[in-house]
Amino acid sequence: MTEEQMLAGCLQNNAASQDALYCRFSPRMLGVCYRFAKNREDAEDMLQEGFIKVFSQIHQYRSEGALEGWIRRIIVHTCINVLKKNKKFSESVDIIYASSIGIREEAIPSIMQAKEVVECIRLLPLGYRTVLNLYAIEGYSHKEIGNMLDIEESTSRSQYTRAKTMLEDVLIKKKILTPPREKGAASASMAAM
Amino acid sequence: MESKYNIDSFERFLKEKTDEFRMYPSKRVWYSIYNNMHPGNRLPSISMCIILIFSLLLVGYLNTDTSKELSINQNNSIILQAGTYQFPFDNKNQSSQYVVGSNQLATNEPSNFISQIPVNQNSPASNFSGKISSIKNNAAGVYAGVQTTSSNNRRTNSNTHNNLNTSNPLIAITATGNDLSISTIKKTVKIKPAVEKPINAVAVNNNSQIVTQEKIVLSRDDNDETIAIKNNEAGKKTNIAKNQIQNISTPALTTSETIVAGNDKDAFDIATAKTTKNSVQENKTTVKAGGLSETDKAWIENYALYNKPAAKKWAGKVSWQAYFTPSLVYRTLNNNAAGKYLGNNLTSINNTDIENAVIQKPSFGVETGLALQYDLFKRVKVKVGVQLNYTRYNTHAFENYHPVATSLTMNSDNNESVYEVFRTTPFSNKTGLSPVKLHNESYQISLPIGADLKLAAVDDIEWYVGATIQPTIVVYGRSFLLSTDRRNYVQDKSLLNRFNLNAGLETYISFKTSNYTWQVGPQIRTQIFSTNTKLYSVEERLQNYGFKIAISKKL
Repeated sequence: MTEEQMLAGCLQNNAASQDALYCRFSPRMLGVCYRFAKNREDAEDMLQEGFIKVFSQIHQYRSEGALEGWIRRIIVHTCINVLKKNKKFSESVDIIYASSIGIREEAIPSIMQAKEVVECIRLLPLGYRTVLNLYAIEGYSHKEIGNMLDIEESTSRSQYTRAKTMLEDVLIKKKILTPPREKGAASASMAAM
Repeated sequence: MESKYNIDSFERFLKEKTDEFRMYPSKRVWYSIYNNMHPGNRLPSISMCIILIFSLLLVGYLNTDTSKELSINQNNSIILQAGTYQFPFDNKNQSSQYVVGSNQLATNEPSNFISQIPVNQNSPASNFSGKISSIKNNAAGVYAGVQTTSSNNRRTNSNTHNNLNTSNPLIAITATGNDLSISTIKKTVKIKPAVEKPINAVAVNNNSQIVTQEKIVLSRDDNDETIAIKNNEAGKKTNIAKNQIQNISTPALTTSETIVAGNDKDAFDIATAKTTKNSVQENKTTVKAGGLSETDKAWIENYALYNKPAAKKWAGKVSWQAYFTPSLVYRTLNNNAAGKYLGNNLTSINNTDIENAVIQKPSFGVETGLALQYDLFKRVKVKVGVQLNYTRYNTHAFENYHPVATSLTMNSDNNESVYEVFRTTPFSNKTGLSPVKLHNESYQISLPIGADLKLAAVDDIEWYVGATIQPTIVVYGRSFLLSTDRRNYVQDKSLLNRFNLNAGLETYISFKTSNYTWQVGPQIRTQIFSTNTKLYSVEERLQNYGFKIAISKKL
């Protein structure tokens, strides 16, 4: 089924088309949700809520950009809305200086590097992780992040900077990145990845 | 803060890696989305579930009802339904296929089948035959076979040893003389193909009655194979003599794994356990056969590692409880007229001992409800529920034809003074035209919240004490109020307290049966606030003395 056919079917609330669209995009979108969520169950709940919004608002899609990008933005916003309902998130996202994290050496198996990177991101404190996800991966600006999370733009920047530093440390410790003194090698290593 | 890396490359690295990441949602997510988007076509629908359940029940019933295939007539002969049966215990020189016509047993080689002498349990397979009617007369014999087709001519291959299709039910007939107990068959047979499914058997006695339906489990290894008969009939599952069992295993095991039944184990338990194990193995095989990709496997492993199912904190700790408590309802009265009397003639009357001024008798009450209990600590349970109460006590009075005027003593709002309100009533206290019994009653809904403490336990018997506080709504009530001069009763619903608070105290013995826990013990419930509002000067509080019977089960 082509994307146009899926879209046309979804506009008519056709279950087969919705299923096709869901099957095509849900794995990647669940990966997105997983980076924001506390655990897989929460991620699936976010995905569910997000796709209901996608199907409900599919008529608002204007074929101007990629469908995946449009779906992804809805999913990300859904994740943020779900997170904002959690009081702990509101507190954590305002805290600029998070305590250092304990890296679970044994908890990150070397199965897939993408998975390792995602798990390293998930090791970050919730506030750091959210800002990092939004800025570095989803491509939102700090101003947009500030609006989304109801925080100052400067707070978003600070959060991101510290999140990035913390993530670098984690990645180095997990030997996914090389230490800074081997910058050239690290760059080469990253380039190779 | 200075970054250790070039920002662009680091973020690109993150984005690339995270974009590669995929997770596959469970079907639950899609079902939820589908149900949300298509509420009219819920998936899976209730009707589909009902049809599925009934189908399973029907299939199960048809598969276990072997009486359709084999029965005993009045002439002590066994009647098989029309079909073709294979008897794997015949020796190679004989045809192993027997064609059975309607309502009679026949074979394509009747002489082979009938001419053999009934065998004992250790006889070789080739002797494993006999005339059906003589089995009973000779008090011992076993027949077994597989129904391979439902018609007489579909299957003609007589080579049992290479073509045994054990996915069809194997029929075994066992008779051990006058003794109705089921014999275990230990027999070496030459069955090359692995037996894949349990098979059915029917036992008969000399009186030509079907004793029970049996399940035969075949096991196989390189050298020999054994048959065990497991009695499925409720209450008779120990009929198999354990000392006659040497090997039992479930048929679907592809290995030669067997279990040796020792004297300390019940053969049935072994067989059951193996069957269960076998089912699990079959499921695993199915999963493997599903063709998971390496990525999926890796994901599953990783998911399992990171998402160990969190143990439900409440699992095994929450139980529901239903209870019923018949009780006797008593009441206490207290003159609570406060402050100064506004009228001149009230003082002496209100000083009268109110208990002696009335004749009131206890009556029955009842409470019933549902509760959820949570095992907070090892010895402490907390509980919350909903409860219906009925209370009643009786007032002995007299009824008159014509109502008389009387008054009720009321407290002022600030309790600093009392005043009278005037009413008419046909009910008098001491004298009147005809005696009458007035029912003071109420229907209540309450929400008991409380805790139970375990005092002692012996095996499955436990002793608890418990207390509850019960916010209560009075749905309906009828109260007869004593007049100021104590000579009359006035019914005035407007003075009923619609909200009240009860307190319960109980002790009970709890004992466990197979599925449920029963609780029995005495209970006291007392009313904290007066039945009537503070305006009425006589306070009435109810006490219920009951015996609670409860049943509970873990969720």
